[in-house]
Amino acid sequence: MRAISNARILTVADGVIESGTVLVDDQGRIAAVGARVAVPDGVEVIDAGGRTLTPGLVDAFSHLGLINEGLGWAGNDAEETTDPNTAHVRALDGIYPFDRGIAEARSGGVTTVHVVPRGGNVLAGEALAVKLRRAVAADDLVLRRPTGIAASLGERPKATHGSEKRMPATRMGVAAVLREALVKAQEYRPEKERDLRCEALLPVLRGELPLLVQAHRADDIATALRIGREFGIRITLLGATEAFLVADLIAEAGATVAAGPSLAARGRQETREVGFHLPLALHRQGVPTAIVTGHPELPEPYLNIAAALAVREGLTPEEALRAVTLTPAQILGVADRVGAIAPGLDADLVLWDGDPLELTTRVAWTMVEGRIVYRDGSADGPYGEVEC
Amino acid sequence: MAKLAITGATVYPISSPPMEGAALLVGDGKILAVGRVEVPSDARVIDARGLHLLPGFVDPHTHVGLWGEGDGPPAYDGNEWTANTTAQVRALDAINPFHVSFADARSAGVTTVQTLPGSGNPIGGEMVVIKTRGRTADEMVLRQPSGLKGALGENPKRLHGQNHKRMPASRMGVAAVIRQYLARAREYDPEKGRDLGLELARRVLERAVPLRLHAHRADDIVTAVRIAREFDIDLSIEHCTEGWMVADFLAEAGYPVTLGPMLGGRSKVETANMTFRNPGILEKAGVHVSLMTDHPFVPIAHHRIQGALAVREGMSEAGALRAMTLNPAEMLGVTHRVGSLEPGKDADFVLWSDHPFRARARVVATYIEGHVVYGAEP
Repeated sequence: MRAISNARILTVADGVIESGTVLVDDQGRIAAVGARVAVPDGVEVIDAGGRTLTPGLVDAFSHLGLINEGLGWAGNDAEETTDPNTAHVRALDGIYPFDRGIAEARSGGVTTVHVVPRGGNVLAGEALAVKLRRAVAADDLVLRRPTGIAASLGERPKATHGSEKRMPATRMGVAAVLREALVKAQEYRPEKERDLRCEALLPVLRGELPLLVQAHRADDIATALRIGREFGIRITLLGATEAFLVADLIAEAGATVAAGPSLAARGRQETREVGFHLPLALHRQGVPTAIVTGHPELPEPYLNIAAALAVREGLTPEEALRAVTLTPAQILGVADRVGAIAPGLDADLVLWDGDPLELTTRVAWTMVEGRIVYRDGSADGPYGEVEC
Repeated sequence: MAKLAITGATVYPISSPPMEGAALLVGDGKILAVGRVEVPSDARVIDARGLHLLPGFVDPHTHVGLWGEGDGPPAYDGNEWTANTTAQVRALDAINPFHVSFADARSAGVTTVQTLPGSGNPIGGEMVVIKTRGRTADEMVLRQPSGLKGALGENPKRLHGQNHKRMPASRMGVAAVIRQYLARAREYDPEKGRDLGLELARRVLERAVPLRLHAHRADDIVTAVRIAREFDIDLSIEHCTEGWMVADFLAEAGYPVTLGPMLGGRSKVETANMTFRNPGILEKAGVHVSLMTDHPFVPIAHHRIQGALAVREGMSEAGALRAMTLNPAEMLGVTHRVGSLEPGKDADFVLWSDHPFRARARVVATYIEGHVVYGAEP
């Protein structure tokens, strides 16, 4: 057991404690949090020195570990571009636990990441939520798997497959490929012949998992909602650059949104309207909205910067912090474990040397399940990793 | 144009320390006075109390107006990839003054940019320094040409060797193409027939303009210096991603470096060792450092964020501001016009709601030569 005392605690779920203590049990869970927490004798106490403590940040849309930065073609395993329907591939099988991006994510206070196959295919594969523990096998990073099946509309599948002279070469074709796959899964009879593509879609058709649709343009978002209605399936939108134009329709459909990255260039025609007005517009319609990096498009350590810029565009600091902690945890179905500082949740904590929504603020240390996995200025490694 | 006095702001002249409650006096598009200024009775006065007044940012390495973003291949005019040596092409001829990237620049307080060809060719073409306001590229020009663009490393290897099966296919080949070009230029005789590409090379050999070489990896940085020394030319090292690994070498070499982009992912192998610690390490080593966005690779609207993160990782705040204003102006040879708030320079300045390195800071108004080009006078 250990305690973090003398901290300004942003609990996210239950307001701000100006000076308080978090008690962490031997299982790496939060045992108590409050202004007056009795610290049992013999417990190691970490003095936060009045600095700000937040939950570990949760990124609801990333390719972390799948695209290993700086390794070029050999280190890119984010899309199995050989077929427009690869619903049966799994992000878990492509994650490289030694990717430097993982260590850097910890240095930015990110502790939970939604790893999603990239959107070159109409059906891209299975996504999962990982916890950034120190681990040598991807299996040991798993927090929840699967979290959904990734799909993609718009320019990316058109470019990937149309350029190879096969379907889809148009948005009509993209929607048709998606519909055909869902119909085939509806009619799937495993006793005849197993088909892993169809099997992957069954939990989506049963409503147990969402279809995670990468879509930017408003018409692509409308197509995602249309297909969602047709098949009675849940939709989580990823990217969603033009969602501000149809935020009311998204709210009506009960969809959730991983919005961003908004710090990147207008890389494609469908991202021309990129900007930090997006989270506010969705929030105003009551759409559960996470602010995301799409790592490596925006690298993980800048998740707090993305949240800070959403504040500049009108989101309150409380809403922005929630959009990188509790809301993504809820979207990913892991709010029973992460996303806030509350008893019973995992002790995934970040100590900041200032306002976490300021550009020059540094992470003093990052804790995952009670262990400090990054410490600023540590000489123990390139990313200050300790205690692992 | 009537005189304009902006009073009460926190003023950052850059060439001298910041002053609180100071004033800037402007007339005919030029700065007349800065600091404790006696405001003339005929001047229009803007009360800027609570605001921060800085020179317009100078971004020394961008593709603003030249390399479309969000408008697809029809607007990609960055690389004339049809040959490995294309010194005869000019960025000036491909700049679209109505491109959204100019509006982005103005909205972010960037008033001067160098726009340049991409890094596909070992010898790429002519670059130009422009203001971010105007109807035609010609009327935006501040310095033309401002250098010759060249590139080492992965990009020319890929574009020529891999895609087009011609030289260069290796780093050896890249250096050989550049050397061959400079050697030919030494022997160039216009009497025997003009060669537009070699005319620019002659300007480089006369040290009228520098060669500006794209180099990310430490060995490419060293190769750039080697070539510059061999031909006794002026050089700027563009990107300099692994500069922190050879900081002492760079300080001794004495050439200016243009750092960035740093906010995006490590999209290439040669950017694997990218870190925001780079500017602070080079500052401490005594290297002449400028920051750049390489827009659109980091959107120019986020220039200030790169400055803030350089400070977070060890650069001094004054050094970061200087690396976004006066240092690039020096490196581009345009300090007589821009880069600091001093009498006689162009009235290119920005009113910020807060220090630009604070997250919530907004540009209240951007001025170029005394005209509001973004926002509104407070």
